Amino acid sequence: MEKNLTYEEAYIELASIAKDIENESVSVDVLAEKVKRASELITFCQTKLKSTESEVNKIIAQMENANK
Amino acid sequence: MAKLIEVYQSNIPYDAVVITRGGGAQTDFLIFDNYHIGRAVAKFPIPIITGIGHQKNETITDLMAHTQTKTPTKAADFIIAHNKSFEDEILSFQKTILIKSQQLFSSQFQILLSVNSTIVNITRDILNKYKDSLVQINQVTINTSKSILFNRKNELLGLSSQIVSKPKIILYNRINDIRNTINNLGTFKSLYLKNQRGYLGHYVSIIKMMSPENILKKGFAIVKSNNKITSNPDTILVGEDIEIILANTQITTTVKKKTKYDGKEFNI
Repeated sequence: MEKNLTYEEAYIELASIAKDIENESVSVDVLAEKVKRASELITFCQTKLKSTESEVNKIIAQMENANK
Repeated sequence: MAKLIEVYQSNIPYDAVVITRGGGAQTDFLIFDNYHIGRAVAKFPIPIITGIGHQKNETITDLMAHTQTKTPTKAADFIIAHNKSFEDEILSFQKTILIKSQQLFSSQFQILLSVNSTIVNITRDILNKYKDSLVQINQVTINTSKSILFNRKNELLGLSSQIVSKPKIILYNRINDIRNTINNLGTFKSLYLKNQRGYLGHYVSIIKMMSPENILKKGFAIVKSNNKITSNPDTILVGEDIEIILANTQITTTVKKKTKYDGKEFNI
């Protein structure tokens, strides 16, 4: 996975692959390659979401503690 | 007179000069009617109080003085009364200043208390407003960030399921396409071969019909000049030997004559 890939970039690429697959405009020759890339992007996005969620929860807990 | 000059020149800030003289003969007071003394008393820069002689005595100096009393005792009484009045006035001022100061302090203190209380209240209000605003922003931030994450998760889930299911469908469709093609090939193979045979038969009949053997049978002839088949009469010269092949017979002949032929006998 690219070093400086952002969630937005990954999601846009993923959506593009999904659209191509949905429209069946992907050739069988590259289908496996596309699905593999999509799988990598999904894993990247999920990891990013989980880490962001964990970080946000931590910050929210700190904010709530500060307000008590 | 000399005393007045001495007082004048002493530069001591006296409050007043008192000129007194006990009772006596009328002539004893003549000095106080002196023009120069009277003038000096009149023009003296500080008040001059006179107490000269008795009730009946009145001199020019008395008339020129700031205050005229009848006797030295009266002059002393006047000064004492004046000082007493001055002292009373000062004391009254002191009292008034004290009362007014206390009133001023009290009113200013009240104003200060009021301002202080206003500042405290306004500050509390402002702080409360900011606190409320912060709490609101905090809540919005928490809700929005949670909502964003939830939406992103849902979007990702949607794409994931699409990517998981769709390729299988695509492959299934492609496999079906191949199966259909195979079936079609099986179904249409015989028809195809029959058609192809028909086309071939058609071509065979055309070729047979066009074969030289059949053409010769129909009465046409092949002309050879210099052992080469020719259809160009220009290459054939008068007097030249040519071969004419008719059905299964070759005729060798010599060209006697060449004539232009424009008949339409064979135009079908």
